[in-house]
Amino acid sequence: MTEVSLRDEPGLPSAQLRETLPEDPGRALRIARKARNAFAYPRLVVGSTILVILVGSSVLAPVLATQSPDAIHPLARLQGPSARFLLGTDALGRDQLSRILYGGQVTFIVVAAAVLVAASIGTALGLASGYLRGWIDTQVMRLMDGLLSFPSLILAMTIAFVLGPSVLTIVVALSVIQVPSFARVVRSQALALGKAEFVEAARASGTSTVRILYRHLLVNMSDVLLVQLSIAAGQTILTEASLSFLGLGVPPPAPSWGGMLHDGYPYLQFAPWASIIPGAVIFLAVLAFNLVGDGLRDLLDTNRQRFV
Amino acid sequence: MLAYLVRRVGHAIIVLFGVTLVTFLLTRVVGNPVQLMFGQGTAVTPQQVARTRASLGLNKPLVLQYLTWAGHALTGNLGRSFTEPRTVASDIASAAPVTIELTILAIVLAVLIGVSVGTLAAVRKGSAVDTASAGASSLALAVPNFWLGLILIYVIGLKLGWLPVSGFTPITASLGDNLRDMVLPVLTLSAFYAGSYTRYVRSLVLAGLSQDYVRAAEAKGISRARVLRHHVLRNALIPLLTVIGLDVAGLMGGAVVTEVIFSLPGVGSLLENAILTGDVPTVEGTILVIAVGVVVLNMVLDLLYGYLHPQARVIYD
Repeated sequence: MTEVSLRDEPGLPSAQLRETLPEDPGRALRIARKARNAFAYPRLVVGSTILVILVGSSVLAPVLATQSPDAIHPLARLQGPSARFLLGTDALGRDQLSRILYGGQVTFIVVAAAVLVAASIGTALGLASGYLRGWIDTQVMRLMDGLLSFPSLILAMTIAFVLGPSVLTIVVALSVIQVPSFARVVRSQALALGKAEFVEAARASGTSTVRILYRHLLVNMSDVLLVQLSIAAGQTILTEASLSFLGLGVPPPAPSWGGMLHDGYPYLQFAPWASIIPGAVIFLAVLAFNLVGDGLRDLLDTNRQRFV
Repeated sequence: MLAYLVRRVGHAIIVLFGVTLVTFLLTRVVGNPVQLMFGQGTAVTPQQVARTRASLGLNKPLVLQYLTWAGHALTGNLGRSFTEPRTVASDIASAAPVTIELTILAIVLAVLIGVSVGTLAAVRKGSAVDTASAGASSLALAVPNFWLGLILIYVIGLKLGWLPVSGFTPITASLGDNLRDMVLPVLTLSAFYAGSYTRYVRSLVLAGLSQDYVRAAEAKGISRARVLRHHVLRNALIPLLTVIGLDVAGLMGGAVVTEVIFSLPGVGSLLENAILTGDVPTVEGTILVIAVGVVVLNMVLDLLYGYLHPQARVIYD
């Protein structure tokens, strides 16, 4: 970034200087190199493969599903896996495979919305807190401490309870509980980066606070944010499923993995697949996000020696 | 230490004030208690609402409502349940021992597994044991506790018939039966933490093993086991204490799910029932008690940590 502005500066002996500047291999090449390196990180590869399969099959649900997720087959209730119903049927005789595919859409949309909202609010609070310091920092961190004193699931349950059952409620509940961890991670990064020389240089040259926050702090912590996003997504899937299991999730008839498990649980003895299969899908999704998070951290740790 | 103690207790009091405020605002302002009481989506006439609001004191100014509520809560009066002819405080008092027993057993089991497996993995770094423990902890960290509980119920309870799948014997009735009922719930709740502590202890022990004082101790001819016990683990357990402190809140959330799966009559089941039946005072009371418990426990663990490790006597970094 700074290299570009230096080159554009008139009056610099650009020819010689440019030769001494490190050659930028170009964005595409850098990404390609990182991607090739990624194969040295099996957790990242396994995790992202599972994720691609899960997200891909949810997106392709209309093509892949053999039945409508809401079609009720009264004569085929709680049937085990068969050629007609590959993963069996639930207590109303609905095809489990189709419900899992469509349920993935509901789950991923809810989780993505909640994580993005939490990341935006948490990042803004963390940047303000860590860069501006002073009373803002104290107030924000006090608020985050207050939120963290509530067990996150219990806070989410309470929010879901007071707002009443709806998809928006779930998104609000899931994002509120993720805000503190984003705020904390971003704050600690902002504290460290705020002391870096290039930030001081930017401040000395009169760069506006907003621009420093964006160009110098946010861009330089994007890798840490990426790891945090992945961790938050795994936790959010888990919390969403827990809420559904407790009967406080996405209201029926929309299929959701946690809701399917909740509905199938009473029939555990006679129809274990009705609850164990949706649970296995939730487990895979959480595992995938955790693996991606761990893998990304390993991958980025090697690039991260620059500041600390 | 005294200055730290005063500041830490002061900090806890501020957080507690915040906790009461959040609880109060959530149920009284964000939510509509009268609607919650009648059930979401039920048609209620304005006259009914007005009458109920007046009888519950909800037409008074918010500040006054808060002060009355917080004042009562301070003296242990959490109001009466909307659905049961009992006080919220007595319901919580009879449910709390179950939750406390469940969480203590779970954390003890998780620490035992974490310390032993984590140490073994660190000492045999790169071996099959290390790889297996890394794989197992990744699985343990991702497995949803309700799903694990379900599988344990299905396999151990229903298929093998080894253990009861639900129900609860009070500790006062029969200690043996009580512990038998607790086996599956404790396993369910502790899995995540066992995985997390295994990872953490492994990295702590690895860091410890590379210290100069460890090399010095080994050079003196002290046995590996003694070095581990007296030099490495003793130092590793202090940071583990902080992590346990941070987990207290999550553990309470996990306890709710675990109690519901295994129908244990703890605080979590109480909260779940109260939410499903729209029993606002019980919801308020239980989340307040849980949050206060978390704040107080965190404070106690922080003080203990500060006592053991003077450098850590800082509230904000």
